[in-house]
Amino acid sequence: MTAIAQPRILDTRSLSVSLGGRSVLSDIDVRLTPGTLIGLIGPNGAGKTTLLRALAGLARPASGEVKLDNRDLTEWPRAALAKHIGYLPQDRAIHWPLSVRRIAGLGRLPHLDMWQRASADDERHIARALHQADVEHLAERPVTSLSGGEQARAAIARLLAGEPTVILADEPTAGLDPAHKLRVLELMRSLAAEGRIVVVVLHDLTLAARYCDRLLLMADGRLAADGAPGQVLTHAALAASFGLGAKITHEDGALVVLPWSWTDKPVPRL
Amino acid sequence: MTQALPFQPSAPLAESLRREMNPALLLGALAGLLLVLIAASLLIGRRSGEAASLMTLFDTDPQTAWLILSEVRLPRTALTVLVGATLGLSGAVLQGLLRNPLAEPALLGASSSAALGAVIMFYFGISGTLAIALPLGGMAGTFLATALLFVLGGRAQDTLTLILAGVAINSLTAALTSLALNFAPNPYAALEIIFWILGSFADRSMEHVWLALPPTLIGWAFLLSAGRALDALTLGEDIAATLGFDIPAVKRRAIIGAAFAIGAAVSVTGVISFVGLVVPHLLRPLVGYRPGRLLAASMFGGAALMTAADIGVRMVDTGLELKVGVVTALIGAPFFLHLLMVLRRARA
Repeated sequence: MTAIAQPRILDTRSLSVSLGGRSVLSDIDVRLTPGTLIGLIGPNGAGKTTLLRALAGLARPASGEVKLDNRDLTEWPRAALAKHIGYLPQDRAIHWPLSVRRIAGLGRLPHLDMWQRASADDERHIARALHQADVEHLAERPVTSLSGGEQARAAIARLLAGEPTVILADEPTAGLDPAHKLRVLELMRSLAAEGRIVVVVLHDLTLAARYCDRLLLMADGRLAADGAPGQVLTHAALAASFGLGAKITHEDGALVVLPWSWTDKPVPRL
Repeated sequence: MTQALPFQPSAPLAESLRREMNPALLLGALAGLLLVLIAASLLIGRRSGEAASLMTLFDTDPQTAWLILSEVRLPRTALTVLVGATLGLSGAVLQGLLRNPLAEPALLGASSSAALGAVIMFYFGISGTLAIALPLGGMAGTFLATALLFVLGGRAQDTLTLILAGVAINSLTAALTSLALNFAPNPYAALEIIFWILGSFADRSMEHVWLALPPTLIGWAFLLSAGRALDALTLGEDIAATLGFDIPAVKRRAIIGAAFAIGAAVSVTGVISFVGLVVPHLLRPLVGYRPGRLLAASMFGGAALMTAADIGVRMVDTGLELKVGVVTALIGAPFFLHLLMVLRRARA
């Protein structure tokens, strides 16, 4: 199996998405490029998940467009797009007690024809993914018998087994212990450095500041800020978008954002 | 986030029956079992001891023996295989698609609505003049019911919505079937309909087989094509979509497949419930819980169970004919209750 070409750009133009008649995303213009880890932050209900779903081709734009390498997602052949895009949703529910290895194997489906069996090459990718997500030792266990954090890592193994060139991960660190949080974000950063477009939704602002080279701050369905962590994570921006008062310090050259108080300055959206 | 699953072994049954088997070995074993059962079904008649007598009849009166074999036993056996495979396969597909182990054609109203479609054809005398009308009516009924089911409970994965949707569809078809019975021209017509709905393979001819075969094969093709998508759906609809599967198209194909296969099956045999529930459930551990691998196994398993059940009702010496649909319901309903309780315990 030859590796598919790395994409150069995933971008949106005046993207708006409505869910159930309510506007959830409005007028988003964003250019996502490979090489750096991109963090998507913002308060609950800001539209992070919807933006990620729109980038994955799952949420249909009400207006505007999402393009991968200058081709609208809707114009991509389904099978070709599936080889590029790896989407990790927040909902990690797995519906049958398959083994972790088999779950990871499902990530290879975009690379198999209808009746084709997994090849030695597929097995190699599955083994690599299990190693990267640190679930090798759980490979033969039914995934439903694992703890929440272990299931989350199995989901990451599934994501990585497909060798996606675009990774869209919704809170990949949710439910993980602190050490595994660091491992997963380091992994995401190295995947980005290898030439993939990697976007991760994060709630931990310190982790976001430390591992991401670029942060997209969302509030009320709009892009409130886009830039390096130092530019985005300011007292003013945190107060305006999160209603958060934070202590912002530096530790070993990295930004540490400690949530400290809340204000109800911005009217929270229900 | 973590969802407990209902399939953890509930009681210490034979451990070997819960472990994954080599797929080729499993299919080979099921096919072998089916062949033995087919042979038995061809030889065993209504009363025990007939097997031996049919063998002796070949020596004394080969013509009659052939007649019994080809006109009575062959169509009956062919239908048990076709219908059993259909029920096992469609149960496995519905369970995979809805990610719910309680999905079953009869429980979800697909079978009863096929029966209603056939009853309507029967009732208005259309089936008398046009034989194909019966399976067509059955298919139309299943198609409507399955489509309605996906509208009502397809997106929501919780068991309750799904079962309630099935209850609603079943009540509606029951009401309409009752209406037909209410206005039946004479008690004999009503009785005929009732007996037919109970589900049986007795007194079917090769004509029934030829009527059911084409739509059944078409339905199987549609249902089997869902295999890979069902594997992907283990991870939910969003991930399955990003893995390259057109989920609405998969659902459409499953509805069409179920309509063809179940519509055809029910229109020649009446309603046979719970085979589609029991067979995938028993075989699932043996295929390592992979929804795609379960399909072929459930086909063979369904055919084997159906054939065995039909042999069973022939061997039991009751005065009146014991309908096989009654037997599967008698065994299946407690099984369903058991499954429901295991599921509740697992979720608690």
